Amino acid sequence: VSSRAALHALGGLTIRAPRLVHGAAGVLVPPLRRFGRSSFAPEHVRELLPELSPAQARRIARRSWADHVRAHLLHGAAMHDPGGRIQELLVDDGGLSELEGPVVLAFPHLGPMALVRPALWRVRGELVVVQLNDAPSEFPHITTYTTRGEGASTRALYAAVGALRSGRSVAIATDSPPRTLVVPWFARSVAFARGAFVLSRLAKVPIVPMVARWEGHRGRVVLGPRLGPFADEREGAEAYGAWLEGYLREAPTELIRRFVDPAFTAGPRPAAAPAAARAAPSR
Amino acid sequence: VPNAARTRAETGKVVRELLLEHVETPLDADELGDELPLGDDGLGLDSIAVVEVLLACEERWDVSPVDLIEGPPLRIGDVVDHFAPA
Repeated sequence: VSSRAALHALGGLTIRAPRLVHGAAGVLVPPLRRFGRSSFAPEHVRELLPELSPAQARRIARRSWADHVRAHLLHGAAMHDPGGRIQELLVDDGGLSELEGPVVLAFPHLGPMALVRPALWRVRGELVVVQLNDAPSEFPHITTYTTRGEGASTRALYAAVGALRSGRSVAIATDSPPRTLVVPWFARSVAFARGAFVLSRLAKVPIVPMVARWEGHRGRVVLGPRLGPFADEREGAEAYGAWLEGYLREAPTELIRRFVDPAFTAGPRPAAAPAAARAAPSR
Repeated sequence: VPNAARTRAETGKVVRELLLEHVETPLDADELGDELPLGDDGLGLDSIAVVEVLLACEERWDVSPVDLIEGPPLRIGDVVDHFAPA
């Protein structure tokens, strides 16, 4: 926690000199990887992607650890940024400014996540964000609901269903236990939080996967295709997981520990859902 | 039963049926007393199951549960009282 706080304290520098700070982090941080709790072993990368050479796997592991530190620096930058200068670090909002709702924007905490926030500012219609922290929105078109605290998850989920049914979109993360769905993930399996998929089922709206991706010292938001709506939560989670796996196969340098380390991924690959479940209406 | 003619007992019967659809351990409706909490120290429902029950009640009786979920942890009697005609 203290190292994270120190990184956040350095965030102010990231806003003033992003190229310098990110360049320094990229050079100085990788040799420290073995001390980092959020790092993962190169051999675990090769378990997911056996076609990679050992050298490529090592490069991905080093890069991921450096990016983890850079993401915390960027998060600190967002905390020290009342003027909105962090928007200058956002290369592309991935089409969020053109997004037609209602949809569930489902995202893992992947890449420069702090840039998702300024990207969401650009959504034209009203938006509900379901989040763990209780920070209020500074924008009138965005309403936030925390899931932390007694009864908070119930209030957040009910509000999100109401928002979707009235035509607004909802942004919600997919990597928060405890209520999860285990789906196929490379040669293994992974657990996603149920929330996004429950919302798709209850409100009968599609899911749009969303990730943040580094581009030099800046970043972009990438949106996936509309998936669903899903009458079956597992089917939704499998479709989302398949899209995310495909994205990471094409961009393996974006892999993070949660998606690589066997301690986080969830055992053997589960059997595919029955054909009847797969045939459930998806529109 | 039309809303105006519905009694608290009839509302309670429907609420209990809806709750039982989400309970993992088989129970009878008469085991679900008014004082039983919906959450971990009672029926063991998670927030998703609670919302599904409340949405079903809202759709059936056209009564918003917003005031209900703003309050303290829910017991079965709270839900029944909220959706029963005054």
